[in-house]
Amino acid sequence: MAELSRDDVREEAIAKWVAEHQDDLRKDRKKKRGSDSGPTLTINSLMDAMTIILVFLLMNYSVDPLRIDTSEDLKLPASTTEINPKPSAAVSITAKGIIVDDKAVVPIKDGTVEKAYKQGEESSMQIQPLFEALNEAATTQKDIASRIGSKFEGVLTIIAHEETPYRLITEVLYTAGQAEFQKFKFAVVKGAQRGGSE
Amino acid sequence: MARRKKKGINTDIEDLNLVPIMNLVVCLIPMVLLGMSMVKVGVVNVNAPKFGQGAATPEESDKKPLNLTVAVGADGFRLQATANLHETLGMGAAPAPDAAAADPTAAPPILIPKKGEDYDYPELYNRMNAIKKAFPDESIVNLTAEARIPFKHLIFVMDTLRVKLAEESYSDLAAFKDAELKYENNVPELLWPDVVFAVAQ
Repeated sequence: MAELSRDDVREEAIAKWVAEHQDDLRKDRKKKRGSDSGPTLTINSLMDAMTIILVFLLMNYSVDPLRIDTSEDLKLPASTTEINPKPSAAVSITAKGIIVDDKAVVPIKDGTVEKAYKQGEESSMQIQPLFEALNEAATTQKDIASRIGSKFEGVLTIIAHEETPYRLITEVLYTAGQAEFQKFKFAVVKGAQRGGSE
Repeated sequence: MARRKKKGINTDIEDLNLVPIMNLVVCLIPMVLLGMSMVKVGVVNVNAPKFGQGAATPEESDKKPLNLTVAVGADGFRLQATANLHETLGMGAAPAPDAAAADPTAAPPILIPKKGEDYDYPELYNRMNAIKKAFPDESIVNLTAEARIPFKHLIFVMDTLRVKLAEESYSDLAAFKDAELKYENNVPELLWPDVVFAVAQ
């Protein structure tokens, strides 16, 4: 009887010790989490939303075949077109220069290319440094096309500033034509109204 | 007893510490947003330019090509073709050919003058729609402009010429802007979709 009661006492003591110890552990954990100051914030739903947004943004980011950073010098005209851009060689005509593959090839002054960059006279249509850059781009594309067994289509996307004079556009088209590009696509901003928006 | 034990274990599991992941995501979203271009980019197709006047490809058939040309000038649009556009558009007899022009046999072009500071796009559509009715098989239009004309006007002209609209003609710009497209079997009917850039050297 006496032994039994001793056992009871011991069990009680152990249970008490465990309970006290658990309380201490819990207190420690709570202190670590800093939740003594108040209730914890439930951020699980916020995390879900954020993850979905992030995945959506990354998908959009990678799908876009034509990335254009518009600025004061490169403002695209608005159009009613519904055609989406496709990956192709691209040439940008900004207010300050002509760019091929992120490399500035010719400077532009007051909407014209200086005579020094042209082949022949000032009235010549061919812009020599642009021709060389486009020729290189065409050679690369032909090489890729022959390796994957397709045909070189000669498609060139032209990303031109909306105030570019017509003469400069035709000079670029002529030069591209000399470098064997035959089909042209002008990059525009979608969703405009008919009849211009001046 | 067993249930109590289970409950005890559950309460002991610590919540996942999501704060570092949250930090990362909160940083990544603005970065991706900044890197993304908000504008929806599209393209307008154009065929290779033709250099010099009268460089039209010779057709094997006896039919003379229309060679319709829209020129954008500082004062307005000019329409010209091998056919007599004055008759096609019901504008009476064509004026006498200009002996000083590049092609002395061709009738002088039809001028669509600017309305104040702006180009008259509705009138251009009306005329081009009438020409399309007279020549339903043609779809190629040459587009040219004066040297200093900004590129955006050419895009606006191409937008005007691309598809047919619900009505045959429009008198004011507001109605023209809000006009619906004309559909045939759920596909927009095309007006002059094949644009060729032309330059007189």
